[in-house]
Amino acid sequence: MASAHPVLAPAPEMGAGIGLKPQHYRSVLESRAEGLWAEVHPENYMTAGGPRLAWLDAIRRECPLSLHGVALSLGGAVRPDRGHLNRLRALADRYQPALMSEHLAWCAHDGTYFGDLLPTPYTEAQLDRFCAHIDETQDALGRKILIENPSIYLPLKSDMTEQVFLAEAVRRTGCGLLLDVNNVFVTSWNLGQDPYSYIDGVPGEAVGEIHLAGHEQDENLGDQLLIDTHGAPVRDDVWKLYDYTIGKIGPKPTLIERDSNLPPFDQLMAERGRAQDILEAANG
Amino acid sequence: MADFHDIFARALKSGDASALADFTEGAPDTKFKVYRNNVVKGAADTLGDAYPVIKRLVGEQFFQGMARAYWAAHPPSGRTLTLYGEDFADFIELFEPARPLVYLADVARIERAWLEAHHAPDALPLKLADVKGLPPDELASMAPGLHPSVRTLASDCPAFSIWRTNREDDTVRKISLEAGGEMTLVHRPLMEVHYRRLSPADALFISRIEAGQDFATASNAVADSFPGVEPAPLFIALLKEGIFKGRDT
Repeated sequence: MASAHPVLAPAPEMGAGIGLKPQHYRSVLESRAEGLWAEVHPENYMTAGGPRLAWLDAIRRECPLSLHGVALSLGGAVRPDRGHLNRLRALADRYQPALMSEHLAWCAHDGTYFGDLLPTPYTEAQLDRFCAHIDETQDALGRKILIENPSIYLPLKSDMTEQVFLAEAVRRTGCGLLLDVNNVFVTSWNLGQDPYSYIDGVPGEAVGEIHLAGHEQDENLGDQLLIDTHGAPVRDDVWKLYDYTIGKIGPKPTLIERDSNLPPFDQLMAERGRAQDILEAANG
Repeated sequence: MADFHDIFARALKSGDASALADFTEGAPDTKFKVYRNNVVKGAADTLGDAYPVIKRLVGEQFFQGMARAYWAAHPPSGRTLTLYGEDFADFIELFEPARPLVYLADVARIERAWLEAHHAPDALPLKLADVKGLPPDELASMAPGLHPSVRTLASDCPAFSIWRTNREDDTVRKISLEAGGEMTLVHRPLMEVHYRRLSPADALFISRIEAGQDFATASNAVADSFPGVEPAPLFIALLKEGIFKGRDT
């Protein structure tokens, strides 16, 4: 099953992109920045009609697009929701995204959608189920997807590390990885581990995309617990880790994620420019 | 491991993480709260974005409390939060602390109508040019139905005026509840949501078209019920606004 789907090949023009918010639709359309691309959560476009879909049509004509799902619940107890897979497929057919991705997490259980990326224990049984869910997704979409490493706040009893769990999923399903460098930093910090050795353990050739975002300290626990809020600029420690990552695995399409405290477009593009410069330098 | 998901999901709903201890390294309490907070706050913030006027009317703190109570009673079931809050207005109507604000539920119904119109299926409305030059008989017997984005609402309160001033004005206008009931039209003929107060005659005409009747029958109903109202200009005004479903859609 792993070889039945076309290999993911990011559009060659993809440099540094931004998470696309409605407030920035017009600015993205008018931007002529080299290498710019846009990423959206497909769930926000699962509507019957309306201006969001029309804007995305227009933006898709100007730059490559990535559909970054948050609701498939691949780490869940049961198989992916059929209706949700069908809606994802319909969006993929309409927008022909360069990349599609999901998470090593779950978000729905027994009829309730929790709307957050919840942790899974890294056990053999969970790995079997996770891989079956990826297979089913890739079959339904007719293409490979990238899987993103989560931010962990609550350590769970596990049989293996996250890197081993993900590398095994890559080997069994042929999926790729979306390496969230901020999540690597946050998880490593929260678990008292070394983020650089995490990066060393990632199968670089499987990485099809990188995420960068800002994190903040927990309101109650302070620097004992970092939270991946997507509400602040990328921290210097994460930029350093990103530099190291690019040096290690080579340039990959990189996204600046920002979901709250949205800055003006120019400010976001300045942050995105920093990633673009690093990618261009690595490209020589 | 199905157990793990059951227990975690139950803890998210109740807020009590003690049963998770078998699965966690160390005590789950403080760190579990991050997930619980993300889940509940995420839903409440989504409602806040969808119901900005309700939030303005009751204030951030009251809104958070009401939204969290709604989440506990009606957690999302679909895989997107875009249209979450379907039952929020009905919930507000029965929400004890909001009882003194008799207009609140109807204002919430208007906000919901705006959201539904915004995301409604795209369709071309019937245009004046589509019917110009048609033989009178043919026009009279047309029963196009409504454009899929059209929502009409009736309230015993001046809900439309309250909603509009809170939506549009930095300093809200004073509105007397004595002003009586109002009807509201919300729709999206193309890409922008339009809204206005409806007259009872407008509302009657629209309801007849919605029921599948033709233009002549709807016009006669208006003439019978509102002897002072001319149906023809009323019809032309609604047509120009894009209320009726277009021919090819």
